[in-house]
Amino acid sequence: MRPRYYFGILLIAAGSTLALAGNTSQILKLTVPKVVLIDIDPAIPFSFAQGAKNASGNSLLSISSNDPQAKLQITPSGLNLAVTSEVLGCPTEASTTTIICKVGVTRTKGAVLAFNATQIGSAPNIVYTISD
Amino acid sequence: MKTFYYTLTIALLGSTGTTHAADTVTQNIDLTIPLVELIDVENISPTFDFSAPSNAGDGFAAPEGVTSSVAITSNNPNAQLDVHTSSNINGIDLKISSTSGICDSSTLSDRLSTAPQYCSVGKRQTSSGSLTISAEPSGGNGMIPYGTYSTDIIYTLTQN
Repeated sequence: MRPRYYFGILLIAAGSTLALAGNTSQILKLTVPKVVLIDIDPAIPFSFAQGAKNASGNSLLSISSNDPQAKLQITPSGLNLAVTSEVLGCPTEASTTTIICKVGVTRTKGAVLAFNATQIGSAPNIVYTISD
Repeated sequence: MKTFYYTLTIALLGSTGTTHAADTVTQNIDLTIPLVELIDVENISPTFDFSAPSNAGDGFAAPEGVTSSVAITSNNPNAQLDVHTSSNINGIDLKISSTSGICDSSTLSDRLSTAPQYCSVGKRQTSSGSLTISAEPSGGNGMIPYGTYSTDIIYTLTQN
């Protein structure tokens, strides 16, 4: 009888159910500074013709504001003033005292800020103030 | 020297004709390879400081992205990398702007959110991968409510 030799090697690669840690994380920190920049050009876009009491005009309005509470106060002197803007939330009524327009988080460049003014005193003027 | 060589050859051939009793031997060798899925991302706390615009009408520019080294050891052909954030930030888009040496075929959209996104990692051993995270104002408006924000980016190697 001829000898026969069988050398069998069975290789078994068994996957274990053991799972090693497969997760990690990064903690991101982001800082955004407060900014409220408003440019109105020109500041007073109207003038009164000789003997006239009413005038109107448009200014270009640019805003960079990231304060949800930001407001623009428009204070006329010697004027009954109405302002209109599609960007700002302004009251529609004309006023002789401070007009408060909501700015909030807004960015715009070259929007229209329309004025209608009635002169009620001497040396008419407009002062702009930004507030929270 | 030549004579010795021939003699030895004959002797070896002759020995194969020797009769032995039948004998079968089988060795079963079990090898256990554990499932390994390890990932490490350095720079665990990147910071992004936005600079305020200086002119009315301008928006915030995106700060420079932060690149982190990534090490992966995976012996699972089906391993995928799940990337998502713990929370969304109003007004800011977080993005993975590049993944180098991490994914076979990346299906990561560049905008991160709380929804998992996956890319195929498979079997991989690398300590020279990298990824770049960037932050920028969302919606093209360029304006972000002011404040300090924090969120986690969570990286998980999944088993399938």
